[in-house]
Amino acid sequence: MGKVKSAIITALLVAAIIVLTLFATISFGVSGANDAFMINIPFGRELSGDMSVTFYPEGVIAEAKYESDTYENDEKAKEYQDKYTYIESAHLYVEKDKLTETVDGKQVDATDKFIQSIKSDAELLSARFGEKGYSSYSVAVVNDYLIKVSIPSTFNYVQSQIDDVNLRNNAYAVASHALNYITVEGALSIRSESTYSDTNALYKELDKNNPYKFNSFFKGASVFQRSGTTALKIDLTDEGFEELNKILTGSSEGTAYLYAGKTSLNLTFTMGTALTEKTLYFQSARDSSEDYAILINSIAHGKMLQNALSDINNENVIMSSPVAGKNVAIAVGVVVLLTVLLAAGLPIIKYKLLGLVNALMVLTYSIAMLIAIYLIGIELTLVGLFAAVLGLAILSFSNFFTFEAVRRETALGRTIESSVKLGYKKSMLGIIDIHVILIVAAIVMTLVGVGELSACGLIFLIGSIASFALYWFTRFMWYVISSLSNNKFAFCGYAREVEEDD
Amino acid sequence: MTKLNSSAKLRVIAIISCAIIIIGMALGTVFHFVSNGFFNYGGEYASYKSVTVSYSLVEVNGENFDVEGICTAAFDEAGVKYYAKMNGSALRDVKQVEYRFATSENDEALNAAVEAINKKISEDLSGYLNPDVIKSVARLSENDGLLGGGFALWRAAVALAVIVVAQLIYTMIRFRFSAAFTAIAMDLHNIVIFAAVLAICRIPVTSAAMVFAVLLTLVTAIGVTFTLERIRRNAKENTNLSVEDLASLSARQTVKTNVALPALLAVVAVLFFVAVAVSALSLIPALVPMLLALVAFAIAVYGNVVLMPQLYIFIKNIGKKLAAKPSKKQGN
Repeated sequence: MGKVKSAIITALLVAAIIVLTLFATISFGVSGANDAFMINIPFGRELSGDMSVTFYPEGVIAEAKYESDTYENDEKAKEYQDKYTYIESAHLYVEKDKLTETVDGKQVDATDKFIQSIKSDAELLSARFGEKGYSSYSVAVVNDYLIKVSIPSTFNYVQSQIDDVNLRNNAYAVASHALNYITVEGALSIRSESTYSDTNALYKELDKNNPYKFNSFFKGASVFQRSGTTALKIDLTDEGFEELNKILTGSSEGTAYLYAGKTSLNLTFTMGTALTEKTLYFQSARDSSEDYAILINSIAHGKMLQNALSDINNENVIMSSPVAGKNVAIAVGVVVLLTVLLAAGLPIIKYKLLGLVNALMVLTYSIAMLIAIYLIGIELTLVGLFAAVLGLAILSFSNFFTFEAVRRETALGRTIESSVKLGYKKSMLGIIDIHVILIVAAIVMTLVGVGELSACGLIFLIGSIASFALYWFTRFMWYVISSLSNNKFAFCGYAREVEEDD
Repeated sequence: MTKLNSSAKLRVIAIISCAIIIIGMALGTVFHFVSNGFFNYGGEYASYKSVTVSYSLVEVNGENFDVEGICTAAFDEAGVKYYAKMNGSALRDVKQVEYRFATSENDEALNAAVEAINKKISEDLSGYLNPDVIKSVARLSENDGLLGGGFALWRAAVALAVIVVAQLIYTMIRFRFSAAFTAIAMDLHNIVIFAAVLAICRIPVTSAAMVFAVLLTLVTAIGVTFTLERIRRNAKENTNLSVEDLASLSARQTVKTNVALPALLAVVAVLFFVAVAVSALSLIPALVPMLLALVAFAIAVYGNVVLMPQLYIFIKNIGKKLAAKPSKKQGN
């Protein structure tokens, strides 16, 4: 390759890296321009803290609420005294009806049964929140009677640094929607009004053997995304399609509302208009669609909460700061930057200008990873960042493994060209093995794992693919950049084997 | 010193591995009954006792209302020690500080601390708030985190199983049955040793532990595949070598790679997490992942360098014996 050509290609690559780095890190103060995309990446729990809510199952109230309701109100005090039992160990009041049941005409203790139902609900909630794709989350039973759910705040850098309600409003709204709708109890139903009442169901459950038949009309739900449009996609069964059409065409006007338990899901149908497809679309934001899809899928598969949980409000959603302090995000950023600089700089000492080729690949990997994380919207966690750094280590390992294979060939007296060819040929199988194993495992981690495992799997998948692509790109750039040098051995930092004269 | 033959070496390694596994199982079982569980569950899966203080006033007589000072004094007085503190706030003027304690912490002492906190806050705020509100500021609760975390752990176990099966299939396609059995045995060995070491050292099992269990499997798979490839190449080049010699020669040739990759990852892990701890001025976010990384990569080196060649010889010889049996029958 000519020196001019190689200089142009090298300059283009360097320019691309610099421009993308600028877009990633600098906000342009132009009206309508987007911020630096790096600061819009959502953070996971360790970097931005979490939002947690302690849910009170129906029939359980806090001691404070009991006391405030009965404060200077004798009538209420008498009513509550008859209705509730004080659980001293948990500082709670529980309805007496929840703790007893009638068996063969006798009142028996049902405390364990009630506690068990709360545990089952916690397990089901854990499965539902696992589908949400959070980098980490927890569902815990507190004092036997309460369920505490914690999800990452998913603040970006600015939100994590400035403790301001208005700045965090958007993240709060998204999180509270998830906490509100994923925790809904009860079966699906279709009703004629936007407010729940026992009498406004449009489909009457008459089968005693199958009291939740309406649930079985739904095959499943998912998030639909095409060219900027996001919607909730619901697939009906054949029977569901017919029954729903009967209901909708049964009246000529009005609106029908889809409910889960006593909660309207903000998904409406126009009465008098027949459905034409078994697949229904409801346009809504991506996060809301995800929440509805998780809920509908869970209920349609017969997994319903046994207890209604308390509503959430501005007072009971607690936003906690990161355990290691709010500066942990900036500290981690500095560490990652140093790691990248080390990975780019150190090989230059050993491999001279070939190390520079490797440095270009390291920088390309880093910027590609950053863009992918931003575009996909992966929550960044500490272990997730470590997974990204591991991808970088795999790229460096693959390159050094091959550089050494080439060095061994040059030691046999071969030219650089034939050594590169043979070195790459001999190390190819090993490199393919590494990347196939990594890519397959990363796909499994992403699809089967939940929480941090899934998030790390996705980062690892991006890292493995980038590493494999850049491994081959290294060979190309080695060829391109080395064209600028007259001494190819010195370019690679290899010692030249001098043939002895006879 | 007499040089051990392959089967003797395998026996020694098997004894070491079994000892680690048995100690891990035994300690885990003991801890299951006397402590938080077989493993020391942490992070999202942690079960803990907590004292939570909710408050809305931040200033008293123009000075900061030092809730945390009141709490730490009460904990010191009661002789209880918390291992984590979480500060939180709600959108509407409610602030919260949560102190987390091990489940083994004494309830009476914790209740005494809670009472002391409530009393002190009541005294400091008397005249400022409705006494009924003050009465309920500090509460002791017990959190069972493993119950909800069970789902994530189960899915992680399924993911690990699928990865092991995928590796078995890949190794079967790339090499032979005996190689595939070696690969799966290595994976299982390393995962079980990892679990045993976690149980022995009581390193908190968080979602990060699942990630490092998978990484261990990956490094194992890469190391095993490298060695198997080398064995195949050596077998082609030296057709007269015995299985023992072939495996030993290949192991020697791949020892650098099998040590270098886990060592590189371990060094990256240590540098990364130590730097995080230093920068954040806190050991909390970095210590557990760093320990998990070190344990995982150390086990990968032990498995791939020490056990794998001997295991390969053992499985290969069994395969040979099985293959020889029908021909003997035919000869008879």
